[in-house]
Amino acid sequence: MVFLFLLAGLSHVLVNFKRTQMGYTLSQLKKEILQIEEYDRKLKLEIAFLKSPEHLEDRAVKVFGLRQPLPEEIVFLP
Amino acid sequence: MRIREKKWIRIRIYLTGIFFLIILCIIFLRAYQLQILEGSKLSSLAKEGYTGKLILTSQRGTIFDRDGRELALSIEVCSIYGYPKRIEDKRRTATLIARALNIDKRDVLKKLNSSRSFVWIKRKITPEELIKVRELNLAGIDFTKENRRYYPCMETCAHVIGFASQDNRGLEGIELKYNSYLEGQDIRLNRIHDALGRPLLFHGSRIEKRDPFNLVLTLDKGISYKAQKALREAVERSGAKSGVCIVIRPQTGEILAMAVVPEFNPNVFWHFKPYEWRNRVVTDCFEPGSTLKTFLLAAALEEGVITPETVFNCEKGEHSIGNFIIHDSRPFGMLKVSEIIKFSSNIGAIKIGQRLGPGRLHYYLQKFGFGERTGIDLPGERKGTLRSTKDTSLIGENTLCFGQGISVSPLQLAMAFGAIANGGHLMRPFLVKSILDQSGKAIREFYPLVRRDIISSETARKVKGILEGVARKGGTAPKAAIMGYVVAGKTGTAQKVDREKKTYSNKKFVAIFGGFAPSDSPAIVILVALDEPEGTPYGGIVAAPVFSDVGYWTLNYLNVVPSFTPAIARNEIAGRQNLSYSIGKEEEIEYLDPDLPGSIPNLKGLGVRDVLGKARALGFKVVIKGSGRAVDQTPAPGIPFKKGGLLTVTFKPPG
Repeated sequence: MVFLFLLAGLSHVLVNFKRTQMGYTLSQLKKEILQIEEYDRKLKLEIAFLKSPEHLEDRAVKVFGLRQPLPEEIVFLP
Repeated sequence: MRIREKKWIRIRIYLTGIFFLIILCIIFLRAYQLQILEGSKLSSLAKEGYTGKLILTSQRGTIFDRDGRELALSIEVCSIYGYPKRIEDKRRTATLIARALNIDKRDVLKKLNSSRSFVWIKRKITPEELIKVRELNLAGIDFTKENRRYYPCMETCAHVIGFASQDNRGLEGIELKYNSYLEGQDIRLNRIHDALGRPLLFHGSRIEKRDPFNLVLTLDKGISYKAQKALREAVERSGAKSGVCIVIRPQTGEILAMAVVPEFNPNVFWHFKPYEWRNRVVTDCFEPGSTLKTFLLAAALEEGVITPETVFNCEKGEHSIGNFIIHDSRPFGMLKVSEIIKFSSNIGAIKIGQRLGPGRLHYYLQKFGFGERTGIDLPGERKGTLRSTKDTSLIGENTLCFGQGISVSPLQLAMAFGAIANGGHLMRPFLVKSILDQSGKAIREFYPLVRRDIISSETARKVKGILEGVARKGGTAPKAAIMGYVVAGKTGTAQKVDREKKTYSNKKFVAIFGGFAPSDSPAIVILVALDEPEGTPYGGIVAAPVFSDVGYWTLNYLNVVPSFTPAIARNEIAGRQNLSYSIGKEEEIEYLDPDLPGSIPNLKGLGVRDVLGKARALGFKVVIKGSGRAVDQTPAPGIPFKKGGLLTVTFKPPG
């Protein structure tokens, strides 16, 4: 009987210990998720700035030497 | 002795019993005090020791254009605050912070010297600034996270989207109108932490949140950029005070672009003045000038009082109404209705208006949406002015035919052109296509709405045919032509009212061009208006090139196949070398209003001295033939003159 009580007590301590460990891991993961989500938003913002028409036009003209096509240069595909 | 000993032992037992009883009573009383009397207070104190709340600042919903490209989004940034009472050397702290953040030291010091316990030093700082201040490791200075709104397209679409405050509340435009959808609530995480303060998230923790919604607009980022750029260039070239350019889908009422100048950058909106924030497309009203002839024509054709072939006598450029004389740009004789619109004859328009009748004209103008709000989902829309026929004088009834005595917003005018383009249906303009939740599911969608049917498709077709002449050679706006596409439109050069003199000004104008392309199945309607351009103020010269430039780009962008080949297009638009025009070049417009600056005035009836005086003032040379009163002149009135040009005037004695 005493042995059974002892076993139950030890199991309870072990479960609580594991639960605490899991709690730490979980909270760390949640923190990481929030950080990654924020990082994702910052990257999206950077992409949006880089893809803004003003920036694209500037790069297209100055870096690649592109220009507006003349009407006869435009081909409409059926 | 033994009895005495026994007695003593008994006394000691009693004493020990009493002692333990007292101790027990004390324990019970203390337990009662801790558990019952102070139980709730102490348990909350204990809870505070191992639990806490993690508050994540509210996000604001993202605003996308029609193709899902971000126009406004929020990200987390840091803000610096201070506890003035905890700072010992305030002067040193202020100096170091001001140097790190590149702000005025006196401002920082003023904040630190305040009697308040909490002060913001600088909100929403850059990561570089954060590193600099963190490295200083100053006592009484701390950081917190906030959300900052970013607008990656900067000036493009700025007036439509508006902006949000530091506290993430919408202040202008779509941000204000849809604030309740875009605004999220702070996220509160209930957490348990250990003795070292490390968080432990257990199943008992609770998350309270309401995610913000995202908006998908009808605007197109590319078209908006093109419209903004073309308008900015036109305003700079012409020296206008302001300008607007709207691009809409006539079949649906979707706004593809809404450009306004003066412009502002919503990322730093506080650097601009409130009048620069104003969305003039919905808040500013002006007289539509000759663009109104389009709707007069539509009304008269719909009522069957005229046909495109009906001929009117334009009385050689002078028509009397009571004590007033109405002038035309040149002395027209008999003109067909189509020519009245092509040459923008005011007298011809009056004749059409007289045949239609003021009541019916007023009725149709109301049906076209003038004098009432369009219902667009933007704050601050004005409805303009359309006086009732009872309140209009005889001259007012007649001048209404060429757009005087009525005020309209650019959006109203664009939607009215849209009604001609789509076959006679007045659409409700709209900017938001759908509202999405964070998973991308639409919680609300907006669809095109026909406000009313105004004219039949047959009438609309006839009006389109007549408006095509305006952008052709000999019309008032050949510069509006778009290579490869048939354009239908109408110019307007509206005189502004001089508030001091209470008359129409001869110096201040609004130059307008409204139209659509391709004429047979319009893909876009564009309206361009420039307020108070300097020098040549005509809609056909100042506003029409913006229409052409934006129209050409947009039609290609929307993959609208040209109506005719580039070779034919080049012949159609003779002499046109490129898509951009410079103001002041010799124009194809032949006849303009002789009352406007930049055109040769009507000298008929003047004496030789008056003619010479006018010629000197305007800077051209005069050849005098005969004497008496001027009866003829070459070139004719209304032609744009060049300084130093030659003018021949023939005089004859009176009688």
